[in-house]
Amino acid sequence: MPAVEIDSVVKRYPNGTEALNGLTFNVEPGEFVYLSGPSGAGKTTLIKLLLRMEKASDGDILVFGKNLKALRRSSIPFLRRNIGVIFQDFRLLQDRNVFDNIAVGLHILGLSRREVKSRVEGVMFDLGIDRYAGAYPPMLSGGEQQRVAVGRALAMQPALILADEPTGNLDWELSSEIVRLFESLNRRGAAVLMATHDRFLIEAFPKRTLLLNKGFLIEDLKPQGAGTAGTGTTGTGTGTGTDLGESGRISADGDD
Amino acid sequence: MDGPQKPSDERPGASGEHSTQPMSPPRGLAAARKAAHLLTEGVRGLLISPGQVLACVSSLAVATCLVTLFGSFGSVAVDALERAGNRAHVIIYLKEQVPSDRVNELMKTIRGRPDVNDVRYLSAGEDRARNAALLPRDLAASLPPGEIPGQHCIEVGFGDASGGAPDVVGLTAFLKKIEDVDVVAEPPVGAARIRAAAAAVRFGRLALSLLAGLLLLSTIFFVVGTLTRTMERRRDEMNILRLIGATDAFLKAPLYIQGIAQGALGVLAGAIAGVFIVSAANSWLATELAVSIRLPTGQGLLVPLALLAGAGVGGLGAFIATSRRLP
Repeated sequence: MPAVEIDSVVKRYPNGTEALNGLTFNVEPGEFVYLSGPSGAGKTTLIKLLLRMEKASDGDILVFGKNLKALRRSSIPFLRRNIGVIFQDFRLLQDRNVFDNIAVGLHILGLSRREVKSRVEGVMFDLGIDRYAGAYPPMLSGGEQQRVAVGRALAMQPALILADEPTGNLDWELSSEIVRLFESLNRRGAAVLMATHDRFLIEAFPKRTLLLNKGFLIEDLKPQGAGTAGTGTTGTGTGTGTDLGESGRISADGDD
Repeated sequence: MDGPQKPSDERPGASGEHSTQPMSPPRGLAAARKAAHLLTEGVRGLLISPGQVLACVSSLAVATCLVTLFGSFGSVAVDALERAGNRAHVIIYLKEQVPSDRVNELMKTIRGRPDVNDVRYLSAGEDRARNAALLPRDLAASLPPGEIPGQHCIEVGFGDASGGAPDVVGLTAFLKKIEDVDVVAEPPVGAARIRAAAAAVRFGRLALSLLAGLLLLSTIFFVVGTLTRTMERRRDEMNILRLIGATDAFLKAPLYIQGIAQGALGVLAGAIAGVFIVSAANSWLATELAVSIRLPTGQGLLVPLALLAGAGVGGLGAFIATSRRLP
C-alpha cells in the first residue's frame, strides 16, 4: 500500500484559480520525494491537502489507504498523528523550551512522563540539540530551530514526513544539514515528501523529484541509479552524506 | 533499506525505527495522562493574563457576595414582619364575675373559628405582669402593684389557616357580641397589613436575589473575555497542536479547566465573604435588635453549592468562548 496516492487531484479556489490540475502520483513507504517547482506551482497546496487542512475539489487523495475525501472531521487529528510536518518558518512555541517543543505532540498521544522524557531525550541526542534542552527558540539559530522542528516531528515516529520549504530561510550549510536530517529519518523508514524550489539542493542530494508548474505535474524525475525508495541516497554536494555516527547521533557532517 | 546503527548505552531513550503507527498506550491510562497534562495546561492558562483573571475572579466574588447578602438580609425583614403578623392578636377583657367553666366554653367557641390561630387565658395577675413589662423599668418599679391595671382576659391570636388574611373586622365584631365580654382591645395594626407587608418584603427579597443572579450571570462575559484573550495569546500554539493531531477536545479542555477554576474561585470567595459579613452582622443584630439573619442555604451546603455554581458559570463561559473563537 503506497504511503500516499494522489489520483487526478484538482484544487479549485472559489475565485476560480486552479492551484492543482489533475495531479496523479504515488509515494511508496520509505521513499524520499522532492516536490519542486516555482512559486505558485501548487507545492504548498498539495501539502495542505495531504494534511487535510483543505479539501480537494476533485480526485482522490489516499494516505496510508485512507481516502481523505471520505474522512470525517473528527478523524483528521488521528490522520495527522501519522504525519510529521515541518515548515519553512519552523512554527515553534516561542514560550516553551526545546524539550517542551519536542514533547508537545507526545502529550496528545497520552504517553507517560517517562516515555515522553525518554523519547524527547533520544530525539534531542540524535539531532545534536540535547545541550539546548532548556533553551527557548529565540535563543537558537535558524538551523537549531529547524532541528527542533524536525525533532518534534521525529518524536511522534511518523510514517510520513511532509516538509514545506524547510530550508527556505536557511543558508546553504544549514539547508544541507536539514536535508541530511531528512535522509536519516527516511533511512529509519519514514516516507519523506519535501517541497522545495531550491534546484541546487536537489542536485546536491538527488532523489525522485516531482516537478510542478501552475498546478500541473510536469515531470517525475528519478535520479540515476536510485531504484527503490528509502535507499537514503546520500548527497554528493559535500561528499560526506548524513549518517548516524557510532553513538547513533544524526549529524550533518557524519560525526559530531 | 539500510538500518541505522542502533544507538547503544550512550543514547538516552530509544526512538528507534519508525513504526507505521505512533505507539499508543492503553486507552484508560492515556486518558488519565492526558487529563493530568490538560489540567496543567489549564492552570497555565490562568497565568497568561493574570490581571484579567484577577478582575474576572473579583467580579464573580462581588456578584456572589451580593447574592448572599441580598438573600440573607432580606430574611431579617421577612422574619420580623412574620413574627409581628403571627403575634397580632385581640384581647377580650372579661367581666370580673365570669366563672372559669364559662371562660372555657368561650375559649372553645372562639377557637372553633377558622381565622383564629390560638386562644390563651390570662388571669388578672398575669395581665398585670404583662402590663408592667410594657412600662419603663423605673416607672414600673416606682408604682405600687395595685396601681398597674390587671383584668382577666382571653388573648385571641389571628390565624391564616385558609391561607388568606384574617377577617379582623368580622372577628372583632363577633367577639364584641359575646355576652360576658367587657372590652375588646383591637390590635394597633391589622394583621392583614402586617402580612401584606411581609409579602412585599418577600417579593423584594426575591427581586433583589434575581437581580444579583443576573449580575452573577453577566459575569459569564468576564469569563468569556478572559478565555478569548487566552485563545488569542495561544492561537499559534493551538494551530500547531491541530497540525500535529490535537482533537478539538484536547484544545478545549484546558480552556474549560481555566474557566471552571476562575468561576469556582470567584463564587467561592464571594460566598465566603458574604457569610463572613452576615456572621459579623448577626452578632450585632442579635445584641442590639434581638433578631438574626438566616443564610439563604445552610452553611454546610454553602461551599459545595458555591463551587457548583462557580463551575457552572465558568463552564458556560468556556462553552461560549470556545464555540465562538476556537482557532
